[in-house]
Amino acid sequence: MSGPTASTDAIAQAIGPELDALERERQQVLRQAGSVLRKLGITLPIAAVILAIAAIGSQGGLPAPIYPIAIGVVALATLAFHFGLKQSKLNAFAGHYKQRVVGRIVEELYPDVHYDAEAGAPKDVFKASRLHGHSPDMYSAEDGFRGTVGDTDVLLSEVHAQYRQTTTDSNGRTSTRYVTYFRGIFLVADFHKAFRCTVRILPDQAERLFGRFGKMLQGFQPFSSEKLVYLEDPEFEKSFVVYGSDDVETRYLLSTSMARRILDLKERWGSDVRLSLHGSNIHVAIPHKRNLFEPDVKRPVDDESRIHTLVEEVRSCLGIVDELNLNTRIWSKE
Amino acid sequence: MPTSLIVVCAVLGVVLLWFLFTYNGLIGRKNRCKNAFASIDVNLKKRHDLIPNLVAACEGFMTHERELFTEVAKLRERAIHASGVSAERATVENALTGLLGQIQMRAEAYPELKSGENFLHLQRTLTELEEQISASRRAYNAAVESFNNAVEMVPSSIVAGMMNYETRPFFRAEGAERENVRI
Repeated sequence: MSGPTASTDAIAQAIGPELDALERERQQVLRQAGSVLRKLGITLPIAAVILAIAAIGSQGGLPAPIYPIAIGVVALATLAFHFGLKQSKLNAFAGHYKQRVVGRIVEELYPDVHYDAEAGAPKDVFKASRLHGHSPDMYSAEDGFRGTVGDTDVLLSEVHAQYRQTTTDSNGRTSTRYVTYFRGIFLVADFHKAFRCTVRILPDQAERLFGRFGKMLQGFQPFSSEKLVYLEDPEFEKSFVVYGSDDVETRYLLSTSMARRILDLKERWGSDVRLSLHGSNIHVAIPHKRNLFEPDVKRPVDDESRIHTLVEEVRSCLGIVDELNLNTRIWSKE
Repeated sequence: MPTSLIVVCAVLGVVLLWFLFTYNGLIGRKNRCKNAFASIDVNLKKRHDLIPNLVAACEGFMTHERELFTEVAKLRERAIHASGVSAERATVENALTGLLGQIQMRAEAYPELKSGENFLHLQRTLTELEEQISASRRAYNAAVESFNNAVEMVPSSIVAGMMNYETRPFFRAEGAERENVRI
């Protein structure tokens, strides 16, 4: 039985037999990884012999310390070459694994969702969500899920966003580095109610740090069309700060039950969940340290516990749609 | 200029600034209450306008519910003529909400009506309106709370007294209407 309620065992059994070719590829990748050190063991002595012969041939024309340095350079170049080779094989395997295993899991759980390991959420969609104070100077997205969950159109992917930070030291030297401000799951879904305003629901850091003064700071938005909106739920208010361009419509979108669901979402993911609503969509950003949907090359591809983990990851991520009750279509928006 | 005069001028300047900020703040809060109440009014009116359509859609099928429809029509008349924030208005609107809920509940027993496109559309619109009414009521009550705090708390209460401002009543949701919010 396929669908979000399909049992994990049934999925594991359904896709297991289709993975023989992938398992052969995994074993080949493992063999190649193991041979890197062996190759190095062969390359180094050969390099040493060649250099010794060259040294004898030149009759002391080169200073003595050049030989160990040259051997070191050859060894490092060999290492870099083999590790690069290994990494590219691993990446290729990861791509095949994701497409065949994660793709099949998604097919079984959510037949109307298409999974693409390479294509994530576009940068402009992430930027337009206005969930963070920064604009991404460096952006990458992978593991894209696009389609319909129940009655709701969704786009979900893993995102890594960084901004450029330039600093100048006391000597006037400037240095630039990239700082990660978001790494995790980014979801865009069609919201079940019609609306025209814009709303942002962010972690209440100012109030957490500065108490009443922080609350006053949050309210100071002289140049923004969005104003601070206080909701009635004290627990929600403690966790989140809400900015909305229309007080009444913001409350219409954030009904008491929706506020509770957002709190539950925060509770379950245990991190600084951010949400925004605009252009008929809801955007959700959930920071996550672990890279999801990745293969474990050391375990067989049909390893059931690994497939179980992947099923749960897919279910948890796309399950956000139901957690936020977006499939309840009892309003005039269809 | 003697120092004492500078000090007096500075103190007066600070007092004047405080007065201006407090005065404007109170007016801003009062206007927020008025806007929020206007939003409740608009949504309630939308609901009043929707009721005849809902009754017309149901009457033909729900022939045994005549009393219910008569009661809805009476309450609608009373609700249309009520204005401002009064306990009576809140009671009438709450009773109307309850009866509309009953119509929807009893419609479950009429499969032909329940599956009709027109009824489904009306039902969705009504659900949406109930949520909008609830949202505007919450916005109004939040605005009233902020206004009342300013009117009652020292030192803004001094300026509020000079402006003859008094605390405003909340628009309460009772029993059945509270249930509707849990969507």
